[in-house]
Amino acid sequence: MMTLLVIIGFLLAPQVYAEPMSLYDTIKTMVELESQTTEAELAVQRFAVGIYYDFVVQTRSSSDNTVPFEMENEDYVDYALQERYEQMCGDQEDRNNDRAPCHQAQEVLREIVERNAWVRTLGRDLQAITSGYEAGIDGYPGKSIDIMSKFAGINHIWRATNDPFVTPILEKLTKARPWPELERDAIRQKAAAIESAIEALEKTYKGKKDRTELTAAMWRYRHGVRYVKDHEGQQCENRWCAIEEAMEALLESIQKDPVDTSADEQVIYPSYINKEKNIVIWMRHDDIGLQWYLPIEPMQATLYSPDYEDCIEKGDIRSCYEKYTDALVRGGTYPSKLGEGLEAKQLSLMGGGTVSTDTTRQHNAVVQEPGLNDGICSHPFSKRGYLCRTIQSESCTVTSDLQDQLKQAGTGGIVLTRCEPEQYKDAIATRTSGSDICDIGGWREQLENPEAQSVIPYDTPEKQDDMLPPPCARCVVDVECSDSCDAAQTSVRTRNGVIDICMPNNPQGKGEAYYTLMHEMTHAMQLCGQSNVESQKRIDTVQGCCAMEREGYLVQCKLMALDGILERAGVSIDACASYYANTSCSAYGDNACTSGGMDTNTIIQQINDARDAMADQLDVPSTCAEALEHPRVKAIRNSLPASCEPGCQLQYANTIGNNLCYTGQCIEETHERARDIPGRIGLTTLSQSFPWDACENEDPQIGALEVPSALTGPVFPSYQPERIVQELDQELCQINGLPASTPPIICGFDPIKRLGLPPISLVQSATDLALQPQEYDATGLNIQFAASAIASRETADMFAQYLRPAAQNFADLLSTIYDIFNEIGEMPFPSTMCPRFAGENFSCNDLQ
Amino acid sequence: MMHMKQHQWPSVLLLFLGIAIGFWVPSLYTRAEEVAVPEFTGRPPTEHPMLTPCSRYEDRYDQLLFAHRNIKEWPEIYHDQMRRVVDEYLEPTTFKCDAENYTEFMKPGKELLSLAAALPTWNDPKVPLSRFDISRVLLEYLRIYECSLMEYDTFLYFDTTKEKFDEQEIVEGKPVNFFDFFFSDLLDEASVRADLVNTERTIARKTLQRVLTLIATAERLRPLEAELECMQRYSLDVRNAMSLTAEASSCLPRIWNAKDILRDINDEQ
Repeated sequence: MMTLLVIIGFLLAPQVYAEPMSLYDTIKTMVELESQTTEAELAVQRFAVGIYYDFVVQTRSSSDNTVPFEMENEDYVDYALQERYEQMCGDQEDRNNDRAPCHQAQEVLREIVERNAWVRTLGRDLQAITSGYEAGIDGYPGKSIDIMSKFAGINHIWRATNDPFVTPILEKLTKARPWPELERDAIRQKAAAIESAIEALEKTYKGKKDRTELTAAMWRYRHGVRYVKDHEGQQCENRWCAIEEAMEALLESIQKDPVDTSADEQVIYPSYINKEKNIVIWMRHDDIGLQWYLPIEPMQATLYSPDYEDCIEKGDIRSCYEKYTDALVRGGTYPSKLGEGLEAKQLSLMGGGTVSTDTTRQHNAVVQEPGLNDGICSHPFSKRGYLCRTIQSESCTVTSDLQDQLKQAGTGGIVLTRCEPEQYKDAIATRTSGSDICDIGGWREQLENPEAQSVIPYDTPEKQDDMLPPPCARCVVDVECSDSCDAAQTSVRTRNGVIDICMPNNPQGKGEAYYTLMHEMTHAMQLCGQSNVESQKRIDTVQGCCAMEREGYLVQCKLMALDGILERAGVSIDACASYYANTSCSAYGDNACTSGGMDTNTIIQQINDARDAMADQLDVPSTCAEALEHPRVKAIRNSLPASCEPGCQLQYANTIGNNLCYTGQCIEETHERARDIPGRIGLTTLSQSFPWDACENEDPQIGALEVPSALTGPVFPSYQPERIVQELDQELCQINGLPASTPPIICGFDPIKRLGLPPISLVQSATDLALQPQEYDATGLNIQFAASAIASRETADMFAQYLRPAAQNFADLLSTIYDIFNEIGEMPFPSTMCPRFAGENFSCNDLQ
Repeated sequence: MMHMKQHQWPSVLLLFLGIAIGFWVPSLYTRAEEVAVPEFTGRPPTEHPMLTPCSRYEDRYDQLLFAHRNIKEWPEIYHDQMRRVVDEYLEPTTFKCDAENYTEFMKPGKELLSLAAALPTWNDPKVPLSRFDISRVLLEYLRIYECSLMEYDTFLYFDTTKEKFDEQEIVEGKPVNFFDFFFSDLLDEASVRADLVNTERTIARKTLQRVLTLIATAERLRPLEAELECMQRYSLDVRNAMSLTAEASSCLPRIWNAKDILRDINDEQ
């Protein structure tokens, strides 16, 4: 019976379990730890017992230079905070009956702890401010605010497949995929293993938790494990090897996903998120890394090396201090502009990673601008930010020359905007036949059915005399890779619908074959479906030449930009395309296609030099035969067949851009090769040859009155720090009811407010004067609070200024789309089919 | 009195009558006017106060429970309320993309609404509350909490005594004898409560400030995120419409049917 009652009691006992800590609880615990005066953080405690011996005057006896009070136990720090004299001072009663050194030691320890606790609290406050601004825009999906992946998703839905090499905007494309199906369980297990390896870094000493190493590891691998290995060496030294191994194992599973990585897209997988532990493992096809779900704890300034900590745990504190005195990081040393005065050892202790002091000294700035794919710019979404790419804009305030001047002057290394205005003369070319919309091609996919009539015959590097276009295509391209071709050339005349392209086998310059072949394929698309006469007419004028060549060079330059060549050369895509077009249209004079004052040869030389300098980094085909097999070249070939030929198939990804390409090409082809109303094609275009042609309804002029909004890029608002500081100074004076003064600090407190009052008593006046510093403190505090409000207002204003044009453009576009769809929806269609014969009494009313 | 002369009686009667009129009659007609705010001030007392009071005994703050509960329960009441509001704010929400205004688009959560309903001025149904008012509501709640703590600290010994007496009365079921509560007990209890007040005054504001700094990103970017989500959904609709258009346009050249060239002969012919 008793046993039964006990069992029932256990069953009825309330289940107590640790509920996951919410954000509020986490912050509250942190603040409690910072605020309490009875316990020091473990790192501060260990630092304090060592640094104690630095205070020579207080801790050493002046007569014989002995240390009257030794740090025999690191718990003395907490005893000092709690003022537990008996526990701390009683131990050394035998050595020295005088309690004074013990009290002095307690004071010293308290002061060290207070100062370091203040610094660490400041670090957390700064981290909170940073997270408050950046947590929603750092990129990987699954976070509490997820803007970037939504933005990428919208981009993907709208974009045509050929946009990456057609639009003159450089951006890293992203593609999201689920975890490989067969590896899902393995991925979860391996991610859990990484989590355990991270959690194992938390140290505990007598109930105190120290998460310094855990925090360091999370921050260290924020850019990815492969990134760390590439930048710091494949050998795992001074890093966390267990975590790296676990991450490599997980990456291996991810890389089993059979994804096509040739399109220069970064493939992102769902992140592994543990909100409770605030851990996110982000995953890309090429790397994985760690992030905080919400960054709360920063990487605090290192106070000592790991060797000192090991020594403290094992042995005598004083001997550890004497052995590792240089390893204790004393405060007050700030990194100088040139990186001087900072020991390499200290540099490596702070935050980890390889820090090249030469590099630091080379750039005359405290914080360097990150390189193209370095650090924060290695992530796909961060690459879109101002810090990581050049902003192409017609109007901007800082040019690259000015940026160099600023660096020389030492006023800062980070410049957010740099521009090069467009330089080409307006050249728009249309064709009399063949599609004008999406004419470059590349938006369609290879058909899976090899029997389909739209399949283009395979192109070998040799000349194929028997090649003929398939029934669904109006032309086909035959590329001949031969050393007899001096330079790449596309023939204007076609032989039986075949356009010949002649390319050298191994043109000079890494990747030249690939870039040039894409250029020539673009020309082939321009000429496809046109008669030889039409093609010749097209290039006979300077405008026609510039338009054709610029389109081809736009594709070529975009590909070079994607590989980073133009960034290195300091040339924009527009400038590259325009100046290259000058060389191809040189028959019409120098600078036939540009209006800028730059020298064409200089620009081209810059680009070639950049390409040569990057030769070992470029992963592009070098020979003509290799270039023929590149997916992008094949994508253009796949676009050769007509889109809308009856009986012909085609395949494309379902996006808005691709659908528009298809619809537009259908309409164009229909107008050129068929009739909208069934019947025989008349002798002349649009001539009436059937009775019901006259019954055609009036052209509804859909979209005729719609004017596409001018696509003005958002302008980066100018940052005027001097104006903002002046506003803050005025605020200081306004708070005290005073007019703006110079210097503004004299508005801090007006002494006349105290001295001008009728003296009640001398004591009162003296007290008032003594309170004046506090008055300054109070106003300072007010300004501190007001400053954040002013800053928020300014940044919100800048944000709104930036978003307004972009949002307006998009809203106008959506409005235009809505109007057009509305009009299409209201269009009346006949309810009866066109009759197969018309009698004498035929009337158009019969077709209504 | 009996020796008064007969001709003096009317004077005495007149005197008594005068006294009666002076004291009794006015009491029949005099009323104390109700205390009311004069019209020229423009603000009747039921409206929102211009200077917010700093006391937990205000009727307006009745729902916050600081006036009714033991101070040892206050931290739990306060922090629990804060936690619920912040957790709710950070949870993913569904957006009504066809809403007519931002208030409908991003409605405030239930926890925020219930907290705001206990605070002026949001307790007035005419005062709108949006999701973005979270920092204002929480700061106001913090202000009232700090006022309550400060008020308790000012009357520490009185409030401590009152609480202890109330506690003992509940336990023993009868009023407590004043002389059973020793001064040393009072000092001990007051010290515990003073520590609690100091601790809470230290951490409450710092915690809220840091939390608000961290969730500022949500406050600033949530509307943009919501707009982007709706834009994503709209883009999918546009894509589907474009797909239908593409399918319809694929029929355009197929309208040209070779058979149409051969017209059927009329039966009459």
